Amino acid sequence: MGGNFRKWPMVLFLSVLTAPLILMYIYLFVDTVTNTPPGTMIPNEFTLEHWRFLTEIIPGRPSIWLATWNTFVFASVTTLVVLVVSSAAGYSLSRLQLPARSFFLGGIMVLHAFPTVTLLIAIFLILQMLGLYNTLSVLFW
Amino acid sequence: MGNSRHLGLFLLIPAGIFVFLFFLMPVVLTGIFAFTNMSTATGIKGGAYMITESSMLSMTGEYGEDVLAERLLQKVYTIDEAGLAAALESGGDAAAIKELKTRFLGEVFDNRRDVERAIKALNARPSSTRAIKLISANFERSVVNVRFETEEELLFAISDFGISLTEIQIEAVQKVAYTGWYFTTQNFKTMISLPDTKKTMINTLFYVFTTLILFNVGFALVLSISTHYMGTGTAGFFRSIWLLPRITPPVLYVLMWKWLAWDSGFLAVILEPLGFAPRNWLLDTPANAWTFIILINGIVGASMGMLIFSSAIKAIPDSLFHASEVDGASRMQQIWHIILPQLRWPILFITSYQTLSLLTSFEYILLATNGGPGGATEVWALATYLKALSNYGGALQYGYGAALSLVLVVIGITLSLIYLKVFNFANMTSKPKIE
Amino acid sequence: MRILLEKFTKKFGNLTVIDEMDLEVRDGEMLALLGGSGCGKSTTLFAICGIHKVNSGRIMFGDRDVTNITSQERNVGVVFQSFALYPHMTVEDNIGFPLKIRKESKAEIRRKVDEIAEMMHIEPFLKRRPGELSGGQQQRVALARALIRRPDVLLLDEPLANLDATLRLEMRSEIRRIQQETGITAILVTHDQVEAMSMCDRIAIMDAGKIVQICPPREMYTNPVSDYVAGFLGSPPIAFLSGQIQDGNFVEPSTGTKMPVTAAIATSHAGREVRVGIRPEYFQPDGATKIKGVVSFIEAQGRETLYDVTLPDGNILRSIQGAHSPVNIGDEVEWGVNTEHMLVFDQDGRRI
Repeated sequence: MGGNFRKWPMVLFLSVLTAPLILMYIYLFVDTVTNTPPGTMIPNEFTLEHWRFLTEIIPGRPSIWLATWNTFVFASVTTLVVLVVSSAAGYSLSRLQLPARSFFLGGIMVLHAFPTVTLLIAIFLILQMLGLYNTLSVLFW
Repeated sequence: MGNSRHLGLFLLIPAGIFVFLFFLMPVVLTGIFAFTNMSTATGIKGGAYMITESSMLSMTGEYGEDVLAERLLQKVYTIDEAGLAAALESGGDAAAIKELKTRFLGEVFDNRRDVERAIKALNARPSSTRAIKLISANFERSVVNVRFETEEELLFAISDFGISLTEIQIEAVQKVAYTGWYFTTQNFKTMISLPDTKKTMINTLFYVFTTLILFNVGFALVLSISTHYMGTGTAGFFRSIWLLPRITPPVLYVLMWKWLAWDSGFLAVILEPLGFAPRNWLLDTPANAWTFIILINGIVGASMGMLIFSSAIKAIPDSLFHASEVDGASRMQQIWHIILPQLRWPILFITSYQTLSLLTSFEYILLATNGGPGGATEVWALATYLKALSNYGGALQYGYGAALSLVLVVIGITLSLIYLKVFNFANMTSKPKIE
Repeated sequence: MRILLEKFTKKFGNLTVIDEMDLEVRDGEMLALLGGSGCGKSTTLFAICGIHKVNSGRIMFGDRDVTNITSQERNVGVVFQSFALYPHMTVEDNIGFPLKIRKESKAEIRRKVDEIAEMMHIEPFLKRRPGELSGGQQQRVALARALIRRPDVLLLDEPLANLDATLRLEMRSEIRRIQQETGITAILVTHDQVEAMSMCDRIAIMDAGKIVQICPPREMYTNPVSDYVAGFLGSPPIAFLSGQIQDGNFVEPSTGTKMPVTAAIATSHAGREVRVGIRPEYFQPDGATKIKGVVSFIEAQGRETLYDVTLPDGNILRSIQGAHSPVNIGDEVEWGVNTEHMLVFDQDGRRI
């Protein structure tokens, strides 16, 4: 931008608006390394006990590394599948002269705009019918 | 040419399967489920046939067959081979059982006392009451609470039980004894008749439009315009901060707000010296609950508008800003006469796109207030979720939930199609460049 | 209004684009800032209209020091290279925008817009949007918008660069006509020496953030202060030869041709290496000092023909001739240089 408008009023204005959000995030972090009792805003002692799940297994809870592994497996398989499927479809839609091409594209746009959350119930019921509910393989769906 | 066509269709198949599995099938099934009475009680696979207290209540209520209902609920005691064998198995007195067989085989008693009286009258009478009860228990016969896989089995059992049914009665028994789901339009009738529906609808409209106007469009404009007037570094900093809520896991993000609002939280601590008693600001009144719901969703929603508007502002040629400044425009005049008119399409786009996502979003409300206090913040999508997938009593009404969600599905598809029309779909689908 | 830049310095980060520049634009004058890309001419213009802040120095409009005031308060009219018309407004609203911003009455705005539209010959287009106009019409609208509130200065940033050749010719005289009719002080930024020479009262030629020479176009053409200025002005461009001054002559090394120089140069630069510049119109078949070479290129320009003559060492002399000479590429010719008009430069490029 040129020099016709001062920047600081805007910075000040937005800083005031942003301060609460930053504060919330700071306290979110501070809470993980302290034992601040409810009803006070001043953190007391520094502790890493809330982070100890990283180094040891807490009785009664799955290891954090198992959860990490699950996340990793889930993310990479999903990515791989999406990558393969959508690049194949994308290539054929953008580069090849397909019959009913604009119908397909239109469908994609509708799909994109359409919120899939509304189909949650149906998907849940399908999974139950197939007996896949609460199993790992279902996540790859 | 023909070859590339086949190749193209072939490459589309995997995507087609996914679309079918995750879109077409769920849409169709939502439509189907909406017209059923599926629930935890009926199960989601086919049902069985059972005479129960409650099914006999509807027998009386709907068909007026109170005599039949009473009879079906009755227990009788039949001395038969199976009962005798079971009695022997359970350790009953062998001599008594043998005598019982010779004297009473085939006899039917109306109640247990009569059976026991008969046992007491035996020559080989067991010594204790306990021993008598041990034997008598094995002759209890009833069609109540027995699961029959087919209606033939049920009818056979009933006739075996000694009750003969008329044609009309058979039909009635079939209807009321069926435990599985069946097709009905009852869901929609219920939906229309319940006052909750109207309230949820009003809540939804209020939530969607207030959040949309104040935050998803309004605050997004404030963010993108104010960062436009900063240096690149500062602007980037503020944009990243306001993008955080979108990438923070919802549970953590809502926890942060709860920390702010609960009765020993930040607000309570700050406001106490000012004379406000500590309270859970998130849930104490509907007005406060709404304020937080709109803030929580709005701040997440504003980031998308912020990104779209910021890049749209960046796309305005510098020379237009320079020209308007030279022409004498103040900052407000520049925003009003230059920036906002250029943002017309992005604003329309965000408005329509976010209407849909707000309409169907419920996860933040679920986590923050769960519709409370007293259903004050229950929106349509949340109601759908609660009815179908998370009811306190454990009785999940899949069918009713599907009916509620069908309303959203229809709205969703309709709006998507309208948007495509408005945003001139033909422009987006120009012919491919190479064969 | 007179415009004065005193020790004007502009830096972008650590890079000094303009260093202590002094410039005076006289009242009612049209001045060209001429130079190649990156020479700082647009930066100067943007500083004058206030879009760029000045790092040091002063800018005066008449007696008013405008160094630290914003564009909004400077009362300048600017025509941008891209015209910068507001695409969502009609032509009428575009032109009236500066007045609307100052909250003038609707009737007043209308009257002034009609008046200036008549002067610019754009009355039929007032209801259209910029996207529906041709380049020349957009140019006129941009000019009308710049002039409507009677600015103290009119600044034109490469105003003709986005137009095609015929329109450029038309708008050249059109802008000059309007500038003279309104008597406004104007600064034209351009990289095109023809535009600068044909439109302006004076030219300030810039190189690497400095003004090399400032004077009327004719004088700059005939009397450049450096080889840079000489090379920038003139189409087809001037040709340079290197050689030594010996016994009152410039000696062309490859042919040994002797070209007489003035007595002053002959004494001051005797035995030293120099460069001479010979414009195409002073290298003709009937010129006095003959030099031999091979015709390597012929370009018919209609009324005139341009010839490149390559000397044995590969240097090229250009000749532009009204009458078509009967020569072909590859022919050896012996044409003459009119040494009176020969420009002599020292090794640093300064004119001597």
